[in-house]
Parts: sequence; structure tokens; C-alpha cells
Amino acid sequence: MSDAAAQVGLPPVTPEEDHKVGKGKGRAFLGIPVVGWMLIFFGIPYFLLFLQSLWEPTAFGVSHNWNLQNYKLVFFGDSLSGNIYLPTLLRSLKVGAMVTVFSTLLAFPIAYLLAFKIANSRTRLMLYVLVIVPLWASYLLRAYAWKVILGQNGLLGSVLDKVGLENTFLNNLLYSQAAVVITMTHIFTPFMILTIYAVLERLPPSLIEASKDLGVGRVKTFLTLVVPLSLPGVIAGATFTMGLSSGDFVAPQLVGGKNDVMIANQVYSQFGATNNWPLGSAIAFVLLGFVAILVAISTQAEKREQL
Amino acid sequence: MSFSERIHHPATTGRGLKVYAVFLFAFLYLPLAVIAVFSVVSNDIASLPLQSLTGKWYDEAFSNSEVWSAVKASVMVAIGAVIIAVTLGVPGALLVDRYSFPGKVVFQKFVLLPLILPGVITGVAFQTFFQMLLVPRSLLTVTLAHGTALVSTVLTTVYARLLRVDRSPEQASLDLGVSPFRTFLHVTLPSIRTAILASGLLAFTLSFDEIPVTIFTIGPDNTLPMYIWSALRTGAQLPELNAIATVVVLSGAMLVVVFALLSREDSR
Repeated sequence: MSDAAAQVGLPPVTPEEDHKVGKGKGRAFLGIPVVGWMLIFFGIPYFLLFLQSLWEPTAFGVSHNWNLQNYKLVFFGDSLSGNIYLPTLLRSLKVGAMVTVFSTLLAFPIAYLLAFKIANSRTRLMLYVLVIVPLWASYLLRAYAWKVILGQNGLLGSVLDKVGLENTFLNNLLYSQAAVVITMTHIFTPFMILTIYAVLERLPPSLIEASKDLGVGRVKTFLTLVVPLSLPGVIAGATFTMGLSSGDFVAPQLVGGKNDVMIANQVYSQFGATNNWPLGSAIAFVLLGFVAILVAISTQAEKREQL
Repeated sequence: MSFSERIHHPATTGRGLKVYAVFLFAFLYLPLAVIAVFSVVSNDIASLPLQSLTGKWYDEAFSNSEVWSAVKASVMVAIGAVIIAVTLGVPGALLVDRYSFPGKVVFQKFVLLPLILPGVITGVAFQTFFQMLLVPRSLLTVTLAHGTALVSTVLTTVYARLLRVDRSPEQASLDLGVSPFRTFLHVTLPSIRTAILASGLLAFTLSFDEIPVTIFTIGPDNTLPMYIWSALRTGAQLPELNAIATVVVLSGAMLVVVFALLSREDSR
């Protein structure tokens, strides 16, 4: 199961070091279609989105009047409605950070269990499949399931009523930030398990045995050996979880309340009901900028880990 | 698993860890189980007590023509997207693995963007793109957007396999004067075949389930997730959705098992 990272569509966390990169023997033209396609159908849309963020909305569409007005509105708001975008962005980052921390903590023991504590390779494969089934299960349907569970007349509420616990905060979790965090934690935990496992499975168990043989205690071995060595996986998984959960609009829309809209919901409404594409583009680019910073930080952190 | 001869000490099997694992898997599976249970009982709302067993939600879902046309649309989009993603992703993986060319590092980062960027950004970028080109939005535009975004998924999965493939048979074949094309067909391709299949399956599932890009690129038709999304927002037909969800999740689970076995094979 050495392609654990690839199974979630991630590049390998620890590339083979002895793998030789071939010298291009003039057959690199094989790459022209893919490079060309990605430039046209991926580069150009993003470029156009950026251009659009510098235009102005009008009653009928956009006017090509270049300025930074939209960005100013995102960061500083206006006198009419105050500042609504920056607080939303910060709230999205907060939700993303909570999801990242919770799913990492929930995932780590399972990744560790899979990598070191399951002797039988069949059991390991079974557990592994148990992790990837929910990972692949529809994002939308998992969010929907939480809507069913957490709703006012939902399952959790009716169970609590049965045991005599009425009107606790748990009875009415739906449409709250807690519901958004629970749902996304559920969604990203299997993903974190796989990215951490992808690194842990490559650590030779003998390393840990050696540490124990040298009289280092179990807890100390775990903290000084396993945890630091797992960091590349934790960092890679956390980067993705943070970026993707902060930028999600599906879960907030389905299980969040009116005050829990996230930055992606605002992009969605600018491109839909509100019909202000230039502003929507600017918000999208601010989100993109945040993800870029996140990736830059994690690349640095990973480099430091490898030294 | 490369280390099948791992040393395991029964003394440190970690009972606490196993108890924790039971709870965590319960957390992961409970929501899916809830949906499945409520798809076969006659409750209108998902709350206790459970009423009598029924198959009526499945009957309703299966006899709903909107559901069928949404499923058909989703399957068509996913197949188209897989074709685009595999046709471009496999040469892309070979390119990144084997050749150095100017701008390679930039290309590698660029092509991975759809994996890390929230789907909403890709979605609005495509909406803008099609609008400016005056291309009417349809299932075709959805397919194009999905396929392009999924190139990264196929590329990374196949690239991960290429990193582990022993290059010496290929070198031997070339040294013996076999043409590069035939070498690729008979030596390289067989060694990455399962990775291509697996990445195709992954891409299919991701496309079949996709909302954030679809919502900005779709025309008058509905894909299945879009159908569910609109149903959820109007709040209608919820028990029927449980039936649909159960079928989707179960068929997904079957694909996953195939996928897990595929990626295990010849990667050890």
C-alpha cells in the first residue's frame, strides 16, 4: 500500500531518493499536449479571473475600468455596509484551523496503529480499506448525513430526548459553527490518516525497536522519534486540510447557520444571486493568496524537516 | 506493503489504541449507517422511534425520472472527464518523471494547483472563462472543467508509481534496439497499468461527486450531486435522498475495494 499518498491524489510525501531522472532524449515533445492544454484550459481561466477582479461591476455586467476598488472593499469594507469580507475570511480560517487540528489529532493514533501495531497484513489491508471507503464517500452526502443527525428533529436530538436530556446544546447543533466543524472534521479525518500513514509506513520498525533496546521509554520514543519523523506527512495533510476546509462552501451552506457563512459562500453568492463578478473574483483571489501563503509556509517547514 | 516481515511485539500491541480505533471508526461510519438505516424505514423524518421496514423510498427514487437523468448526466460527465484526465495525465506523469525541461518546477506546481485550491476558485475561473468566450454552459463545459482539474489527480497517482518502477528492464529493451514506442507499450505501460486504472477510478469518483466546480459551469441539466444539492435547499423528498445516498455510497465502496486491490498489486 505504498501509494497511500497517491490514493488521496497527493504527490508522494517522501520521494524515492535513488530514483534517477532520465535525461530528456528529445522525446519531451510528448509533453506538449498536456502543457498546452493546462495553459489554455487552466492558466487562461485563472488569468481572466484575475483581470476581472480589477474591473468594475455595472448594472449590465462589467466595465473595464482598471482599479483595485474590489480588493479595497474586501479588506476595508465601505461606509454603506461596513466590513463584511475580512471578518468572514478570518472566520473561515478559524474554522479551517479547528478542523485541521481536530482531524490531525483524531487521525494520528490510527495512522500509528496501521503502521506499527497491526501484525497481520490482512487485518491491515482491511483497516486500510475501512479508512478509504469514507474518504471516497461523497462529500455532499457526508455533509447531508450530519444534517440528518444534528437537526432539530434529528437523530441526536431524538436520542437525547429519549434519555431525558432535553434542551441541552447538543439537541440543536444544526446551523451552528460547531456543526460545520464536526462535519468537516469527519470529512477530513480519513484524509489525514492516509497522509500520515504514508510517511509512517516508510519508517523501518527496527528504528523504533532500536530506540527501545537502547532503553528509551515508549512515550519518549514516540515523542522524540515517531512524532518528528511523521512531520512531513502531518504538514502535507494539514496544508491540504486547512486550504480545502477554509475554502469550502458546501458544508457551511448545509449545516451552518446564517452567521456561519464562509468566504467561499461569499464568492458563490457574488457569482450567483448578487451578480457582482468582479468583487467575487477579488474575494476568490484573496482566498487564493491565502492558500499560496499556506503552501509557501508548509514548503519551508518541510524543507526544514528534511535537513 | 513493502515490509511484510515487520517485527511486531505482541507485548506492545496497544490495547488502548485498539479501543480508540473502534470509537474512531464508529465516528467515521455512523453517519453513513444512519442514512442507510433511514433509507429502509418508513419514517418521514430521520428521528426515533424507527417505524416499519419499507422499500418505498427506493421505489420512489428508482421511478423518479429526474434522478435517472441526473445519474446519466453524472456518468457521462465522469467518463468524459476521465478520458481527458488520463489522456493528459499519463504523458504528464512520464514527462515529469523522465525529462528535464525549462520551467519544469513551475509546471509541476502549476499542475497540482487544483488539488490544493478550494474548488470554488476553479469553478468561478471556468465560469468567467466560458462567459468571456461566449460558450454556453452545458454538461460539455462541466466535463471540460472536471477533466482539466482531474489531470492533477491522474498525474500524481501515476507519477507515484513511476517513482517505484524499476527502470532497468526499460533500459535493457532500449539497449537491445527496441523502439522507444514499443518499449513504452510492452515494458513501461504494463508496469504502470494498475496505477492508470486506479487513478481513472479515483478521477471517476471525484467527478461523479463534484459540486464546487460543477455549480459554476453547468447549464440547464443536473448532475446527481446538483440534483441532491437543489433538493436539500428546498428541503423536499428527504427520505428518497437517503435511498439515493445509500446506493451511491455502496457502489462507491465497491469501487474503493477494487481500487485498493489494484494499487496494492505490483506496487509491493
